[in-house]
Amino acid sequence: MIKLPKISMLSPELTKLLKMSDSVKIIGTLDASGEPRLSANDTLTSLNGISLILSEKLEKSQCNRDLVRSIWYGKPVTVLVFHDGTSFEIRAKIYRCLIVGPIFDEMLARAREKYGPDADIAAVWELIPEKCRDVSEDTVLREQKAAHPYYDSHLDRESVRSIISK
Amino acid sequence: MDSLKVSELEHLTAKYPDVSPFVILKLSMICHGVALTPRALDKVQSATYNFGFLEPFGIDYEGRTKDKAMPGPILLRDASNVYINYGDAGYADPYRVDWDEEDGIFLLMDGGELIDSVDFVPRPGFFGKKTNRGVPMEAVADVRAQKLILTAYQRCRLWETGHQCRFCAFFTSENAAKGVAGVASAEMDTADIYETVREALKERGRFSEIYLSGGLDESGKELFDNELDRYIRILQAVGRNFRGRFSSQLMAPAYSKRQVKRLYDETGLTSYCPNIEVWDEEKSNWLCPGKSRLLGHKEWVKRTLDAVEIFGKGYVYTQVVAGAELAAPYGFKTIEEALESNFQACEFYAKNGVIFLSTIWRPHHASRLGRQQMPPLEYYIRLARGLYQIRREYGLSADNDDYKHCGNHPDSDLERMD
Repeated sequence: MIKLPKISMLSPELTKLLKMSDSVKIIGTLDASGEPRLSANDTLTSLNGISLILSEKLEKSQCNRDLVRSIWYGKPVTVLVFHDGTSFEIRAKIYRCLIVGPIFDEMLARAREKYGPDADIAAVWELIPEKCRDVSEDTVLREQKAAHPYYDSHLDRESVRSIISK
Repeated sequence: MDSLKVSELEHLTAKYPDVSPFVILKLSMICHGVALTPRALDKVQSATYNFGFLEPFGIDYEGRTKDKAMPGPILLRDASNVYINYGDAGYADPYRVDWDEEDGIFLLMDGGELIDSVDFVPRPGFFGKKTNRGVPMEAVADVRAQKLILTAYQRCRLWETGHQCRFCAFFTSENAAKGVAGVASAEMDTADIYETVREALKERGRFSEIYLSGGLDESGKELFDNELDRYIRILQAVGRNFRGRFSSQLMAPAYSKRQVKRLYDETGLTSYCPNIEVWDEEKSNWLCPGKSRLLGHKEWVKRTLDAVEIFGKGYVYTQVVAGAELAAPYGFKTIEEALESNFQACEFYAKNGVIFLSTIWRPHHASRLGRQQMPPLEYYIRLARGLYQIRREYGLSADNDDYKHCGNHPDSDLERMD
């Protein structure tokens, strides 16, 4: 009934971004009515270079409830990781939810290290990336220029106009 | 060739798209049973999974090997747990859990078909330690993923007169007869309990609920007074570990208002669960003769509602042993009648602020009902869905008895998306 997830290594660039404490990490989910929802989650990381791990602080947060729906009904989620012009968009399947065990403990330890000994987490989620795209501005621009060289170039731009001597 | 269990799962998952497939799988595992392959059994002997040989509820399982320890409950990928009577000989064609050495995971199989990857609740850090009196801590407390389970009185006095509930197999094992903790008294020592809880809390982020229950003891000046005093002593001992009220549940008989007030005022308890076991009065009298004789069905219900005045709406629970109401020879003849009865009960309790939950009746050779046929899986799916929907209409959420704090109630598992 289940197909065990295909395991592949995350790219070194993405792994680096995930480990940076000041990168922006966004989770995109669908709520009960099919409405797209976004939530920032600075805990998103990878502990093994293969799967994505995040902790949710609250059992009843929008994201946590949407992740339950995703794992129950096999719906993918989208993750965006961004830092200083470099960004990756990842489509991922929810592999499992953890409320006990070494990975849960590791993520709780991180939360307590960051926010103090009274910090808590509700659940840890493990996501398996299915598709990963480099959506950094430079990359996207390069791709578009190759396919559509005349898009997004207003004719008054300096890079387009010839230099007319007065 | 497709297996019957897989076909059944696929059919029912498609038929009930609003019920989590994990809840359906869990129910199927409870109905059909789960056995461990020799490889899996070897793997759970490791320090991560080994739950030892003590069984705090003292149930007599026939098919367990004496030289291999059993693991804790199974964890599904959505973190819900499945409490399985490992080794019970009553399963005709159980699922199997195997260990995949290459990928380092346990696999739930049906014949040659892979159903899902699973895990087990890990062994808690306090197992293997002893209290100052030399009592093994695993004899004092059992665990689920985040729940610490204390059994205050490891005997039920209804068995002394043959008036035990007909579905019950608690305290029937050889160990239970000797005293599960290896001590002469059935009553747990408060110092042992305090020390065990203190030790358990050293494990980072492990426990978020303390649960207390025990066999029924009606003795005392007023009915149940000795038992109440015992629970208060134990809850006070547990409470020495906390600043104020702590997330907890007591599963006990329906006490008088005076007794419930004492329970609330003198301890840090947050929820109370006097189990009705069976809603239909006539069937209840047959299935729970001891409780009927002592208190009677109507008084049990009245006292349960009275407890809401003290613990508050949504903090008084009651459970049925779902399926026992269909047992032969005097149970309901159809699942429609049984569903109607349980839904009526849930609605009645919900109107009065009480959370009505189902647990699954697993027929057992040591109970008076013996090994009977369980109701079909679809009955349990419809029951879980119906109970969940009724409670939701009344704004009730089983916070003390959800997937994380118990795991034995498929209907409260469904609350996770709310």
